[in-house]
Amino acid sequence: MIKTLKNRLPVLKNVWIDPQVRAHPIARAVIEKVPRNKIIFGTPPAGKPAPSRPIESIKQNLFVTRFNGHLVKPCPGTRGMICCGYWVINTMMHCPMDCHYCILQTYLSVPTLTIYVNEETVKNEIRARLLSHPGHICRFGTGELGDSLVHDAFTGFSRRMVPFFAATENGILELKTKTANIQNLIGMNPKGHTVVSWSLNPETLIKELEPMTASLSQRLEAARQCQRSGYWIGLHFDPVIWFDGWEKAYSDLFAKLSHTLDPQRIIWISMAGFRYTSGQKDMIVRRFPDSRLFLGEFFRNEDGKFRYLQHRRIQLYRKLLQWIRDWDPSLFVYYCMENQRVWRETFKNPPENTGDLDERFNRRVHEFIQKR
Amino acid sequence: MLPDLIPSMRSLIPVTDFKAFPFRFSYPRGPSKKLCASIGKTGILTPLLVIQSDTSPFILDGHRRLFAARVLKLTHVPVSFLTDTSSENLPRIWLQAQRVFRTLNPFEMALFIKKGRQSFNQPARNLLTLLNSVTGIKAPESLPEILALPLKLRQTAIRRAYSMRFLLKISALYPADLLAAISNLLVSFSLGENQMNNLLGWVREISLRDHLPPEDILKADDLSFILRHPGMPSAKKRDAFLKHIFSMRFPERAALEKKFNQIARKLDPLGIKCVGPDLSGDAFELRITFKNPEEFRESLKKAAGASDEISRIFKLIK
Repeated sequence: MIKTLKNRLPVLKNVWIDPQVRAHPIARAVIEKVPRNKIIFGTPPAGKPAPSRPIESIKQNLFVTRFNGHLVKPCPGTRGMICCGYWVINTMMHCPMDCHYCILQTYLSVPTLTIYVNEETVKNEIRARLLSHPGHICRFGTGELGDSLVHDAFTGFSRRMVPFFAATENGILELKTKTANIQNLIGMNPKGHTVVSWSLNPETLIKELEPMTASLSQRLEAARQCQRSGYWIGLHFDPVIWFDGWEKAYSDLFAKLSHTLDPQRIIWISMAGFRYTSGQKDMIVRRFPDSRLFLGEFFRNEDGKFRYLQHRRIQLYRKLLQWIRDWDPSLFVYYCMENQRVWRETFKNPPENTGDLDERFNRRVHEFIQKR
Repeated sequence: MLPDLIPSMRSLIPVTDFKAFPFRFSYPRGPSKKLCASIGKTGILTPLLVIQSDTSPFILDGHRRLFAARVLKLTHVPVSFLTDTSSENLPRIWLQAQRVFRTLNPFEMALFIKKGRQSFNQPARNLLTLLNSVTGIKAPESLPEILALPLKLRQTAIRRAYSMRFLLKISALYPADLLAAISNLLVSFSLGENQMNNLLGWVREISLRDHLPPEDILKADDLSFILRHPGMPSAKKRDAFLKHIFSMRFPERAALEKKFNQIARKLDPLGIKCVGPDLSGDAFELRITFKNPEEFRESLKKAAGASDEISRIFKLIK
């Protein structure tokens, strides 16, 4: 049996319930599962903006509310890079886990972990998007501003969204996680419309840089169970981190992968080198003064993010691609936020632009839906 | 002039009558020559701010002017006796008096919070609120932490006007041994805020990468040679020092930049300027723009007699 992360996450100090949603099933589920003395009906005080607020305080407070704007948006991607045409579902903000390199530490301005309960809005926006693009596979994911499954025991989001996507013609839901919280997923029939994805790194990096997340073996075991239950699996090597001994560590990771998962049921694999903004670096150095994340050579790209030097990234990707191809040459691999030169240097037939990559995803998903 | 906001009664009193108010910044032992000359010429234009007491009056503001008066052997000085000397009001009056002629630097603000607590008998939080409302600057509660920065670094920070935000950042981010080691360098040259930021970051990262204490990194032979060079002006020392640390921290980028600069220097006598390249990889594109075909032809002629490397580049362009 896979252990859940329940006991390893930071203890919630306060759970704020917006009085307007107190009768909502998600709010009720949260109220039931949290000790009564921690629940406050109201709105958390605004206080300092999030980047200057201690991140620990954000992670110890949960706010359940509704959001009055759009919850489904195109992935913002980044300037000058080829992106994949993904759509993000922002039903949660922030993450209780504490990966050192996480961009959310400086990216979001909300003062608490936040769950938005208005799933009807999400469903309506997804329906509208799918209807306006018949015949085109639209990929949606909840893992942009938080971990897709970390609150799933509270919210039961997956229990409602997996059947919703299963009933669509052209919608794919991706649940991206670093947890092993798959209890809600087992026993449902996704009908080929849900991908459960894990963000992976060598065990040594998980221990050093990803506190409170599931271990590599827990993640792989969870992925194996999901494969058996009829889900497609996605793997994200993001961020790929260069360090002394990276080659051995990543090769061990691929050895474990090839022993655990069936490559024929892996729908996509993404890769992206570690990147950061200058504000994020300050935050990480302040929180983790001995962090070895920044010891490589970085260069500021046109989107303002610092990345490893191009030839270093190419070297990392080539090696990873080689292991992936050795495992199964038919695996579909793409880069998240990489430039055309890196694509050209590492792929025989690279996509020309974001539209081209999106089209390749389209074909890949059709292929998978047909073989289901 | 004394701001109208400060209620006071003006008068002239003998120089010998004063006691210093416990709250004041540290300042040089004597008044500056400039201040003495000015007072010698025009007298004290801005009255000293004084609190009346049963014995001698306390000076709240004007210690240097009083010092100058004593040096100049003046018998009386103009003072303004404060009429409202409640403990809530004194810090406000002090702040307003300081701000008549200048802006307080971050260390003075930090001292105001730290020392003012005792002197004004006010909680630090009140002083902070007051400071923020009077100066319009959002100083955080942690501001007094910048007072722990090494002396030389603080002096440079004042001279080069480092921002409060930067000072807070470095006092929170960097360990004391690194700050002390960098502070020792400031005897040889001065650093602007960005240069200081880069240097601290690079040395910290080299230290983590190579498992060396910062002091040992800065004692490397090449760096010591730069610091000890007798004929090198301090600005050149600084640039050479930073360049060297950069190449220790980023050897690949530094090598690439060096290559580019070599080519740019060779092209320069031909009147050809290169655009700064993208140095994100292991090679770079050399971008040369010609305004018109004549300029291009002219450059080709010049390049024919230039070094092999440049001739090769121009053969490629041709």
